[in-house]
Amino acid sequence: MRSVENNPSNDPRHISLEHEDLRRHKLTVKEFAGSRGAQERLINEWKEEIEGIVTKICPLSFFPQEFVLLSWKELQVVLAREGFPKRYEHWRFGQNFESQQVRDSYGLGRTYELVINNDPCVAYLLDSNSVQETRTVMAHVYFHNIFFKHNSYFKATDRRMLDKMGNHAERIKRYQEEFGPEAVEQFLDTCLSLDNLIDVHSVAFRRSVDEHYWSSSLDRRAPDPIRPVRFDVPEYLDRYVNPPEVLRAGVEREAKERDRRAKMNPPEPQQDILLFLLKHAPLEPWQQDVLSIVRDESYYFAPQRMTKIMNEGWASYWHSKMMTDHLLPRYPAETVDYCEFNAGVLQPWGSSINPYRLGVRLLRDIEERWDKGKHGPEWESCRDMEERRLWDKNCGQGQGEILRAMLNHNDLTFIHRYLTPEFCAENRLHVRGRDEEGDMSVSSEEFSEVRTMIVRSLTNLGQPKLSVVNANHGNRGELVVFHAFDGQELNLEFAKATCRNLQKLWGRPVHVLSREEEGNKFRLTHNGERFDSANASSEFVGYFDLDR
Amino acid sequence: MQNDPSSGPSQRSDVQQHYSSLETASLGIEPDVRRFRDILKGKVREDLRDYITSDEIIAQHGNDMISVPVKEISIPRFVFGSNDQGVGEGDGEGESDGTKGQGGGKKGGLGEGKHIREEKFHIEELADLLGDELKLPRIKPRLTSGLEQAVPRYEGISRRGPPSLLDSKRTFREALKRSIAEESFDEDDPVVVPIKEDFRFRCARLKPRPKTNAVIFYIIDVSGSMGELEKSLARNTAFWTDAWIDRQYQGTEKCYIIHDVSAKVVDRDTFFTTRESGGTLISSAYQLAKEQMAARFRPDEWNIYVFHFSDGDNSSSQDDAQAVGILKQDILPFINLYGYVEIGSHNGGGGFIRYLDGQLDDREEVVTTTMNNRKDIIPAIKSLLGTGR
Repeated sequence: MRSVENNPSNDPRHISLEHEDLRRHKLTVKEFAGSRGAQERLINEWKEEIEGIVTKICPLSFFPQEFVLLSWKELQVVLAREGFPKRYEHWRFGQNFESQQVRDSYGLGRTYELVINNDPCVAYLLDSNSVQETRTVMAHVYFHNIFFKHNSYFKATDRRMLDKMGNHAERIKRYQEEFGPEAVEQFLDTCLSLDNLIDVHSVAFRRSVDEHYWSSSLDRRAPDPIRPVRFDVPEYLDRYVNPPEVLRAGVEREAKERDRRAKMNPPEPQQDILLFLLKHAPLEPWQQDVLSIVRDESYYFAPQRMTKIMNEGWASYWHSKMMTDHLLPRYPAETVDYCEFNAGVLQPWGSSINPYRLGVRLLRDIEERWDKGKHGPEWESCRDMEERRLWDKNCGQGQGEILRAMLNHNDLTFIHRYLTPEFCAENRLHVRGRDEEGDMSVSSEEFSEVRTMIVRSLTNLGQPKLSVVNANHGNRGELVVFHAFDGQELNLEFAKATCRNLQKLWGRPVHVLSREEEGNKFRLTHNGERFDSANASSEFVGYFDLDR
Repeated sequence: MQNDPSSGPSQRSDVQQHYSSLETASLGIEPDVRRFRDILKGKVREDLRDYITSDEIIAQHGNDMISVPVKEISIPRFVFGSNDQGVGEGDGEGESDGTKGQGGGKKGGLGEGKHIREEKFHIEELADLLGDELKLPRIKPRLTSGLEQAVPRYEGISRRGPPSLLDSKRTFREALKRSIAEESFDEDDPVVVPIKEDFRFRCARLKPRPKTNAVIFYIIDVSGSMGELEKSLARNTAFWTDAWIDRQYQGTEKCYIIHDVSAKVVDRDTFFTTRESGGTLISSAYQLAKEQMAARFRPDEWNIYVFHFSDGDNSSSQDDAQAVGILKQDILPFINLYGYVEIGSHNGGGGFIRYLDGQLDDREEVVTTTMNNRKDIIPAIKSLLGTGR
């Protein structure tokens, strides 16, 4: 959790001495408890108390929860390494660290909380956060834990990632010693440049390198004969419903399609390009291992990026409930500070979406709609505004629906399923775009446009969808990577450089096919020596038929 | 909880083990930081040089501390090009540059998010860095008659003064404060009547004229055709030019002018932040500069520099002619240097620079240059100041 400003109430000068009790929760954990040992005992006390409440109010189990108290500097290191205490050596963690330091020194956003999806679940607490902040953060953390444990998109993630990251670091260290740090770093940079070329839709499944994604032509079975698709109707209708010329055309189309696929290798587009490279690119064993490390880590982080709105919304929904119903009654002096803290976390950001806010509001909206029965055909067809306003069927299914949403959805499906025009209007969600003056401003408040825009930004994690469509183009072993164009152009400078990196791994020439917004089809090609781009000629134009 | 309690303690020590290395002093991040810095400095890994991006944003902290976002290495990936659309929430009045979102959350274990790396410099240090690359403009000695003459400037507040200098906003604020303190303020009938001690007047302070009498006119085109990028290029160039001249010469006067179809003199903050829109009449700015010269900066007493930033997308060729007319007649003969920077506009148009070059190519007090992206900032400053005039 982050809040925009530093909390001036940490300054003890603001509080007069008579109110000794009232200000104790404003002390930092360090000031409150003293030694590290005492701090840890304190956290354990709170942990027991909070765990008791969590168990009481939420029906779902959680992973054993570990809290690790860190100093400012320690937290910055962990943050720089994307949450893990140990990672392989790489300059980008140094870059993260430096930018984190500068941000902190300007007070630009403060990190309150960081949770790792692991069994046991690990969360960091900053010893210079106040007692009240720490208590709220701890309550919040338990629900990230529950989310990690139960949301279906996390089911296949590695729950021993803490160990595994350490293991990755060791392996890369060994390669650095054997092949030289520079060579390993260069190869790592090449792999990192491709680390988003995974199939994010597959995160809900278990994956392994051995999985049989596609087979070589040798073990391909003889294809089934092509049968026309016909509708099952009484015979007297058959020649009208299943006209022979249409059936014939269908068979021909299918034969042509099979023919085309037979010439393709792989027969189906492969979105998990990293896996494809792992299996088929001419890599040294150590290179293969480094690539697999990058791919594993990429798949590990993907579900978190796919569920940001839900995950933060879910945790914020529950921490509010915990605080207002259970913890604040026990510690009333914290009320005002808690409210201020909570407001900071949930405030609208204006020009972009605050996932904490959108998530928690949408969950509360779902709760209300399912409690009052404001969904389904009867509700949809009701046009009487007054009736709609007073609608309450006393269904009491709110909690159940929230749980169901949490278990089964990712941000994309969540928004698509639950966002309503009323919610958009109430929260003043809007599409921003460049106006004719070239400035950013509100361009639409239309529900369908807002939803489309959010859905689009979440589709494939907001990244272009690329697949390997042919690994043997022109029978010359050239790789063809196809960008399924959905209205947004590629960043060309980056695409060129990334094409170059693909080529480094593939060895043979690599073609990247994409489109301009006006429809112009083009290819980017790197043949190992130089880069070249051109309009897609006849030999490439066939691939665009895949774009359906 | 269904969690097996027996596994608890062993797992705990397991997890804590991972952090034992953190508790030792070194923390182990230094090699990564060192490596990153070496790459930035270009000592190693030439292949990454192309991906070092720098995105300068100007912000002044306190008196002279500024935050200068500096270089970052972005690993190239297949990503979408510039995305001019997004979804906002709330009143939609957030800054389009997303500063409002700076409180942005970084969720547990999530390594995404692009921040701009900032580094602290004192403005003097930076100006010196720049100075290494540039030649110093030599300021011509001008007649210094009346150098010590003190001139009145309206920049203070006083409790007494003539009605014409009444500062009504301050006056009413004082009155409001008083009436709230007296508890005579009624929210339902919010009438505030200032009495004598509430009145505030702007007052003149006598200010001795500075010894180095140079004035720099910064003129920026803020018309609609100047997009965010163009404006930020213009402002950055102006800012660094300004910073560097300040470093070289204490006490230079500045005159900031913004224009679209009409021009106005603004303060420094406004100059660096205004977003306007509308058409462009370049002559309006030159007319105003001319008037300012006549009123405040007489050419026989001042070294005058004029820097103009525009996309050159003037509304009419008629106005091109008129603008150059004013330049030729009333400005160029009296000033040390006139610099015109044309910023390549993605809206097409442009072209004032061609007209200007055609008309004034041979005059040595004229410098024109073009810029299209951030890489052009330093060359542009060089050509503006490199003449040594």
